[in-house]
Amino acid sequence: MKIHVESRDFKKNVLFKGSTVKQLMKELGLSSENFVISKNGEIVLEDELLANGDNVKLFPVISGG
Amino acid sequence: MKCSRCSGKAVVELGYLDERLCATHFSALFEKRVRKTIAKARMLDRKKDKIGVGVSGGKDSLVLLYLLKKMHYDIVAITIDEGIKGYRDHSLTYIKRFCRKYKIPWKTYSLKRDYGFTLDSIPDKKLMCSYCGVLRRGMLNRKARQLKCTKVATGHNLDDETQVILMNLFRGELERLARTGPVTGMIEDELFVPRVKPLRECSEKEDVLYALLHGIEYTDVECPYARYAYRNIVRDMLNKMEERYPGTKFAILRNFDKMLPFLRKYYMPKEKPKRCKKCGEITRGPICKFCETIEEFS
Repeated sequence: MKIHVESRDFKKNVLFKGSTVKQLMKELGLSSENFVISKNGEIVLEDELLANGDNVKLFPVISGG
Repeated sequence: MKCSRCSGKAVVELGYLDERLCATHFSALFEKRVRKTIAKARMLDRKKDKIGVGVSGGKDSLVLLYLLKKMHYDIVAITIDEGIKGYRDHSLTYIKRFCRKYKIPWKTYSLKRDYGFTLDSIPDKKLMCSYCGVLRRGMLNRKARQLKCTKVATGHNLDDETQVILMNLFRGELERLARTGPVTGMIEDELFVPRVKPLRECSEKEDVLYALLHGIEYTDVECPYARYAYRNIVRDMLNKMEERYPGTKFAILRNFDKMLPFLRKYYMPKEKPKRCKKCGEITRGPICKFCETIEEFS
């Protein structure tokens, strides 16, 4: 399935074979600990199931300032 | 996945409580914790205090401003523009919009305007965080006093606090450690406005979540000098510990709070603070760090 992923530093479409946010984060090489995650505008946990065409937004926790 | 306290959909998993919470229960817990933090350390008095809130435009300071407004404190937002291009100029628009929306008075002061230089013009980038800290704290104290504030509140969170505790321990700077805590500083002096940290028991991630759930628009542009900070190494280490052993950060904070009275007793200055020969502010040596820094770069 195709998932649109957006964060502070990137925007991309990911061809994804898994089913959960946790698996997506692993595929992206990112830790869920460092982000608050939304799916189609709603805050979700990492066990949330994904479907083709979902929009995932990652809000970084560390701002460094 | 359901909330541990109701049938709502969970938005956060709090490992240290072994609970999953929905937006409503998370917000209630977060606000209750901030109220308790304020009360426990007697940080603020609604009847007596005028509070200058140090605001950078990031998640922590805007969440703090939002909560103090919600709790009906007498507040004024204060921003120190240290002159970091692409970072501070960007954040000012967020603060302006926020303060206008919530009808909060806002004062901004520029290092360039007051002292003729910006942080960008300092050549030694590796020590930038130290210079920035001295300049921002110094200006914040001076401006808060001019505005007749009796307290300064900053958005330091649980992560900031635990990082500072460990950094000072690692560097063997126990005297500096004794000056930190929920209410900063060991001395009482008419020139020093006590600094308080109402968010010190809320993690960075909880601040982001609270901001998103409450429509608080903040800037997440990274300070370009943050990559030089020693703090980053300590942060990574602490995050790994927290992930593996949930509650580590709270344990560090709680134990530090227990040690603080002893540290303060031991390191309490024996003499009254001196006055800086240049600016008249409080200092330990003949000239304060603020003036030393200004002199070096202006």
